[in-house]
Amino acid sequence: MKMANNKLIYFDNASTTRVNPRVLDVYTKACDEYFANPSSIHKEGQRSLYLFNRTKEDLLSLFKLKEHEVIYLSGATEANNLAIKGVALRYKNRGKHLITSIYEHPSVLEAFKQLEKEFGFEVTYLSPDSQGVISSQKVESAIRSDTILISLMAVNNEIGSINPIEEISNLLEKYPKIIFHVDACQAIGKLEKEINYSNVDLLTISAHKIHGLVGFGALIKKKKIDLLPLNSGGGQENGLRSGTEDLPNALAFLEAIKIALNDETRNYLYVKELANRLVAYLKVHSALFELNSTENVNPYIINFSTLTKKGSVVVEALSNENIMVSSTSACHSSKEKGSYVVKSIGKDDKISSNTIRVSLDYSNTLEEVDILISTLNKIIGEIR
Amino acid sequence: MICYDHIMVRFGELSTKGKNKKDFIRILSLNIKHALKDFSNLQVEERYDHIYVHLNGSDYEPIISRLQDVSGIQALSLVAKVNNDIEEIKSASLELIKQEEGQTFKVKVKRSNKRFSFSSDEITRIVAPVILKNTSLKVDVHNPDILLQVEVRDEGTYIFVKTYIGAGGYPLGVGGKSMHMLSGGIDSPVAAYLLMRRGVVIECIHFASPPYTQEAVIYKLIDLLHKLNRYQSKIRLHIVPFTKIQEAIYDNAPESYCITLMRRMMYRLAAKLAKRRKCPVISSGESVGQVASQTLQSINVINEVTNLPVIRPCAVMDKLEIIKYAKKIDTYDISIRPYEDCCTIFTPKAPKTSPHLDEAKEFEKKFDYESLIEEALNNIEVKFIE
Repeated sequence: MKMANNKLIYFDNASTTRVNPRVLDVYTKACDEYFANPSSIHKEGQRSLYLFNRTKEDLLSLFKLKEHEVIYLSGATEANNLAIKGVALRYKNRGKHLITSIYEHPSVLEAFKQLEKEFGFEVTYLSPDSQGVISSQKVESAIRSDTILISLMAVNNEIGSINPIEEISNLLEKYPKIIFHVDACQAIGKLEKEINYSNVDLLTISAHKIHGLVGFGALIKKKKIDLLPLNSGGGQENGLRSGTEDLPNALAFLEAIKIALNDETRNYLYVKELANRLVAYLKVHSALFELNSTENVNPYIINFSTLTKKGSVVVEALSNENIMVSSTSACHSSKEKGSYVVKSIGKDDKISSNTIRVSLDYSNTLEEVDILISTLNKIIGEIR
Repeated sequence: MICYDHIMVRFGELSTKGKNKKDFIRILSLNIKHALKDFSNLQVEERYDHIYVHLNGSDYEPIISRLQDVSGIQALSLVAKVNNDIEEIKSASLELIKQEEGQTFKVKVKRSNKRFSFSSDEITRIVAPVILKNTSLKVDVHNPDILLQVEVRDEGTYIFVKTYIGAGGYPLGVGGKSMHMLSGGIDSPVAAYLLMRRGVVIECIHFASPPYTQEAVIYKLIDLLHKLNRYQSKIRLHIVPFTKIQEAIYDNAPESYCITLMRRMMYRLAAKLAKRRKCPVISSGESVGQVASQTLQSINVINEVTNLPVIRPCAVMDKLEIIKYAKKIDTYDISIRPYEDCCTIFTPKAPKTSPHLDEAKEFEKKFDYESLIEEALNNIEVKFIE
């Protein structure tokens, strides 16, 4: 197929984003100026240490968190693993019941499965409603006397549904024994108004979803919570994450968060306009597409299924036209499995095997959305 | 102290080659030099019966293992060279055999230097007692654990115990060139390897049907061909845009005939490209009976579009045999990556296993495939994998 559109159109921002030049600038400058090891006792090292700790204070104040501390690590997968296994293994004597949902990211689900299989924990997996939401009532009804950990994502990475994290975290104040972990990777900087995380015990955030560098993130935790470290070593990050402190990345991450939070509401309204146009098109053509993400909830992630054509072929065709979107299913003609997330909101195999995820960003334009729409139109007409 | 300082390369089926033998050896020698280009310090010496690789102190293991991929080599022996002196032969033989594990041995002597004052038999009778006296080894002439070979030549005496099996076949390049149909599955890379082992250089033709096939398939092909680079260092890959032809077939023929027509179109394209690239044959990984398009009746109807010979090295192999080869050449894990190729998409529920030629021709009359083929040939993308 000929390339109709020469400029790259990137609608896969939920998987990763382009690095913001301002962030990169901070990073390269820091590599040049503040390269000394924060654990060294010489003058340069001590300056690095001061700056490193400052980034943590600044980060916490950006989220208005007073009882928390920051652990830097390699990203969300590591943060989720440390939070879940760190809590479960540390507090296993208090109880061995854990709660999560069935549509979490694999770095959460697999950690829970490991605890179930290898360490004898019992896990309750909550299902979302048809809108992709897990209500606080549902969470509360799953609580048992031996529950020690609840882990839920703030925003689902495939369908964009938003969970009532504040409400749940307030509710859990009644259960002081239960530790509440939230994977907020898809939420930070991408909501109408940032969630108040002050009653969340453990919070996972990641740099590369908000135009930061891949390979860096943080687990923000309440000081009073103790975790079992998964890495042994030189005892950095209060013994929770050994390994040389990465000051350039910490500074770059802070910059990315600042930008994301500062422009959050404005970006939201802008992206909403883009989303509205795409959703309107999909709704008009309801014989061709079925919307899986809920309307008017999260403009950043639009998930739909193709009804007449194979989803993976449409994704490939868009890619050939230089438009990058995701197909959430790893489709093979023979063993089609489909998206477990889309299935979790009650969609059938056919719908969940033909999903397309368009994940938007403030760097996208209305014109790009229009090109996506016209290209989709063309592709659906052309392909067999 | 004596040590192994040469690798003796023994040829495969060259004894039938008469006057061409010299050319075969020259090409093999070039292939060996090319295969060993990442090792410094080596010398390759051509002789009438063997090629010698002078190790000059290099570790032999990686070199042997590299040479085992070079086609046209029957066997590789690690040899120590001594002067044509019976005392040197005695002490070296003893020293080398002491390094080996086993209970029994046999001494085998070959003397091409007829001026040497002992006959083969005499040398055996001199060397064997030395070993018997100085080790706990016993003689077994039928099935020895260790075979000590001594070859007395004009330039010196070669002594060797360790022999490794080579790839066999003919030196790559002596067999000409084939246009090889590469799908990305398990069979076609194996077929390519078997051809290379027979001395045939390949160029590959692949049919891509975007968006029905994914870009990832091309990366898969590149990875596959990288594995085959061990046997042929540079491989030309022709990627033919096949979408329009495939769509035209599905618009004009009943579903059951689509695979037959698709294969006929592929062979037409391969034949035209083969002629253009001066390949006297086409080759493929087809195996008799494996799928609907590979029944004898299907092969007959499909093959009818070209009079070029089609070589199918996997034709009579069982799938498990093919898989064994694929694992040996390390392509299996790549081949099973789950991407759709132009054979798996559009797969009809009931493809014809016994298509009729006249029917196939009838369906083809319904659309102007000639111009679609021309268009596809004019838009081939070429990649070099090396």
